Formats: sequence, C-alpha cells, structure tokens
Amino acid sequence: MQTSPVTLMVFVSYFVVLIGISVYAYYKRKNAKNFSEEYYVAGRSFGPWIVAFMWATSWTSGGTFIGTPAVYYSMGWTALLWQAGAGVLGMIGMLAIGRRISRFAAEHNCVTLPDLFVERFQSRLMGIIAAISILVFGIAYMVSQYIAAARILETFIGIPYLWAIISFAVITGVYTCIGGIRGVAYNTLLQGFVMLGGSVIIAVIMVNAAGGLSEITRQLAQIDPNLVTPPGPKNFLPLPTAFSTFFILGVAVMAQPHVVTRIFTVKNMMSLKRAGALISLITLVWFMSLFVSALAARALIPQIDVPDRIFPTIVLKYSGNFLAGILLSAPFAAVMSTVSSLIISTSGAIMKDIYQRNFNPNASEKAIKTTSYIATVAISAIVMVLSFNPPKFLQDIVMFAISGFAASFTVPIILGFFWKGGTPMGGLLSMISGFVTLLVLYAQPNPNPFGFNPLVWGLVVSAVVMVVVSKVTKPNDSTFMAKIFE
Amino acid sequence: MQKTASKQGKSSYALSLKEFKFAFSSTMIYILLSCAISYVLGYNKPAGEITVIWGMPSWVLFGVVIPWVLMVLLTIVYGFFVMEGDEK
Repeated sequence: MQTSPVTLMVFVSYFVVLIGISVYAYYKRKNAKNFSEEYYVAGRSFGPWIVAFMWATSWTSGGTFIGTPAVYYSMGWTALLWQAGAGVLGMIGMLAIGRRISRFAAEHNCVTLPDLFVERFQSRLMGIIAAISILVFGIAYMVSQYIAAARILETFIGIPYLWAIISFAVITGVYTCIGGIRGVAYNTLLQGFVMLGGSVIIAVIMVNAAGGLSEITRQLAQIDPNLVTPPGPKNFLPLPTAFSTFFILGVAVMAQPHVVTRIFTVKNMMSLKRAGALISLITLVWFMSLFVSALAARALIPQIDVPDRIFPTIVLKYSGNFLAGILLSAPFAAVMSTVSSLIISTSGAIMKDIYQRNFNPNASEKAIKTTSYIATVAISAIVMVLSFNPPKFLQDIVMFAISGFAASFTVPIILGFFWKGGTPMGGLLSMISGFVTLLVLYAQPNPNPFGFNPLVWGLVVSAVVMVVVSKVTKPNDSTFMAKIFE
Repeated sequence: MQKTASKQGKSSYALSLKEFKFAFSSTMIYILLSCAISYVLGYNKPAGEITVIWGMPSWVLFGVVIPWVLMVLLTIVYGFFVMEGDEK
C-alpha cells in the first residue's frame, strides 16, 4: 500500500514531539528529593485527567487498534457483548479499590504491586514470587506490543521489520528513561487525546461512508445473519464464554500490575474519584467508536485477507493524507503507553522488589538511581532482542499473561485489603493456587469446564484457598493488623 | 495523599470497605443483567426474528448499550457526587 509523504511527515513529527515532552519532564523531575518516589510514582502528585488517561492507556494496548477491531470486524454485533466488560473499568478498577490502595501505598511507601503484598502480608517470599511473575509475563506482553507496532511500520510504511523494532525500542526506551513515570504521564496525556480523538473521527467518517448504522446492520445481515445474532459466526461467544469475558476484559483490570500502580500516582481523593468517572467515560467513547468503525468497515469491505490490518486499512483508505498521519499514530500511542508503563513496572520489580529489598536494604539514593536506569535500559534491550525473532503463539502468551496476573493477584488484593482474616500463608497460597489452576486448565484438551474460562475457575480456587488456609494458619501480629484495619 | 475525613466520622478503612461493597455489587449486577437480557432477547431467538431499533439489533440495545451507558452514568454520579473525602 502506498503511503503519501504528508502522512509520513505527520507521523514522524509525532515522535519528535514525544521525545521533546520527555526532555521537559526530565527537567521537572531532575531536582526531586526522593528518586524512586519520583521515578516510579511521580511523588504521588497527579490530578484526575493524567491519572485517567494513564490508567486507560495502560490497560488498552496495541491490540486495541489491531487485534480488537479484527474481532469486531469478523464477529459483528456479538463482539459488542464480548467487549462489554469494559463498562466496569472505572467502577471496579478505580472506585472500588482506589481509596484503600492509594492510602495504604502512601502510608507504607509502596511503589510497586509486590510492595503492596509485602507490606500487607509481611511476606518477603510473596513479594519475590510476584516480582518474578511480573518480570516474565511483563516481558512477554511487551514483546507482543513491539511486534504489533513493527508489523504496521513494515506493512504500511515499508520500513524493514528489524529496523522498525530497533527504532521503536530506542524511542520508547529513551523517553521512558529520560522522563520516568512523569515523562510517561505527559506523553500519555497527548497520546490519550490522539487515541480518543482518532477513534471518534474515524467512527464518524466510516459510519457516514457506509450510509448510517441501519444500513450497516442490514448489510451485515446480508453478508451473514450470524453477524447480527449471538453467539456470532463459528459459535464465537456462547453464553458462559460471554460471562467469562466480562472478567477477562473488565474485572481482571484490578490485578494488572502496570495498571494498579497508576493508583499510586494519585494526588488526593478528589482526583481519584474524578479519574474513576473519567475512565468509564473515556473507555465507553473509545470502544464504541472503534466498534462502529469496524462494523462499517465490514459493510464496506466484506472481505480482507488479514483481519488484523482492518484499522490501518480504513485509515489509509477513508481519511485524508494529513488525518491518516495522526490516526496511524494511534496504535503506536497505545503500544508506547502500555510498554512504557510495563517497563516502569518491571524495572521496579527488579530494583525495588528484588535488589533493594533482598540484597541491599540500605542502598544509597545514588545506587537506587543507577540500578533503576540499568534495569530500565536492560529490559528495553531484552524486549528488543526477543522481538527480532518472535516466538509463535504470541497472542496466546499475552492472553495468558493478562489472565495470569488476574488469577494470581485479584484475590490477594480483594481479600487481603478488605477482609481482616487473611494470613500470610493464605495470601501466598491463594496467589500460587489461582495461577496453578489457570496453568493446569490451559494444558487440558478442554480448558473451559462447563464453558467457563480458566480465569473464572482460577478466581474461584484462589478465593477458596485464601479463606480456608487463612482459617487454619497463623495470622499477622494483632497490633499490626489493628493498625492497618483501623 | 492527604488524610481523609468522613462526614460521619468513619475511619478511612470503613469508608473504603463501603465503597468496595457498592462497586463490587454494582459490577456483578451489571454483568448478570447484561448476560440475562442478551440471552432472552438474542441467544434465544432465530436470526429472522431479530428486530432492529436505532440501527442496532434490539438485543444489543437492551442487553449491552443501555446497561453499559447506565453503568458509566452510575460511575460518574458515584465518583463525582456520592463518594466522600478531601472535599474543599
């Protein structure tokens, strides 16, 4: 496909602006008193707009503009039920746990998700296991994001795959390292507006081009009646699967390490409450816009060889050259905001949860700074090298990573922070058992007993283990418990 | 983060537990309602019987779009006007 020079120029200037913003953030954070409080959680100083956009763009990924529109395009109206878990994001991901988690994190100086568990359950082992799983799955997740971005550069701009990966890794690594979480935040605000504005504009263009929503639905019914009725083409979404998907694409958000830590950056309750409301509104507009765009695309282009290319295809075909340059940046914005959040989370896991806590508790400010930078650069480099020769079944690894985080961390978060009965052993075993259940079920020929996804079963097992083990094992010190549950 | 002061003098933990209960139950109700309405109006019907309202199949409007929009409104109202703390 031929991309016009105007489109390319707009696209490249976008990246220049991102680097510029990071440099600005570097000067703002340079004189901070406590390096890790600033680098990882920006001194807990962010207002509602930044938090909402960071949160939403950390949760949505490159997949939101690549794989997700492909699902909408292929499955028609049923895909909206598949996506409907997003309706709970603001409520369960921010309002449900926000006050408790942000206060606890601030009072106990937590900057990472494992920090939370170590401080609540007083278990260093739990912190190490959580940090290792964040490292492994976080890296797999990032590799998938790099590949998605490089494939677009390769297909639509004609940059060779290898160079696409290298340039991408360098830009993201540099801007994360220079700006820290503050740089990521400022960039995310810009990227969030690009993604949101981009989705709305393309939706208006596409629905108009296809002759309105009624005409689109009529066309879809003609192409295949299954596109307008559940469970959709090829028995896509039987009811138990629909129910499970609300958990994977909705409830699971409260246990994603790179999303939960966004709550740590909140300035005060006022910002937190507003951020929760904004998140629900932003994600509604966002997903609905992308959804109707993809439906319109199906009516206009009934066949496409690789459904993953549907978003870039409609952008290049239906929007003008200038707009295409901005809209093509949207998937990159999504990839970069997710990756930079993950880089910060995984390097936090190395620096704070593994190095500082276990090897050098009295590390100097300078040592922490150096380790953080080395961890950030090392992770960017590892992800880059792994992306050169991508493993097969990568998308499966990503779904597994999201479900894995959710199966391990959801119950320890809920029952650890909202139930006084949780013991250190209960927390540890609930984390491990949720994950093992998921692993065992995925290895079965039928991973979905009674039609329910392994994540649903993992959550059930994890909750039962937490309650049963906590009843029979030694609780935390009673003065300590009284203090954190006062 | 600043200390939160409740209007009824509740502790921060009691307040956060109250919020969690509300958010968690509304989430579960939303999921069950959306699945139930989609089942009755969509899953249960042959393709020929699907009616279209405002350009979308009726099961999508009542089972997905309306519950989702109501959930967002609930989140906004709860977040902006009901939750306590740090008001100045």
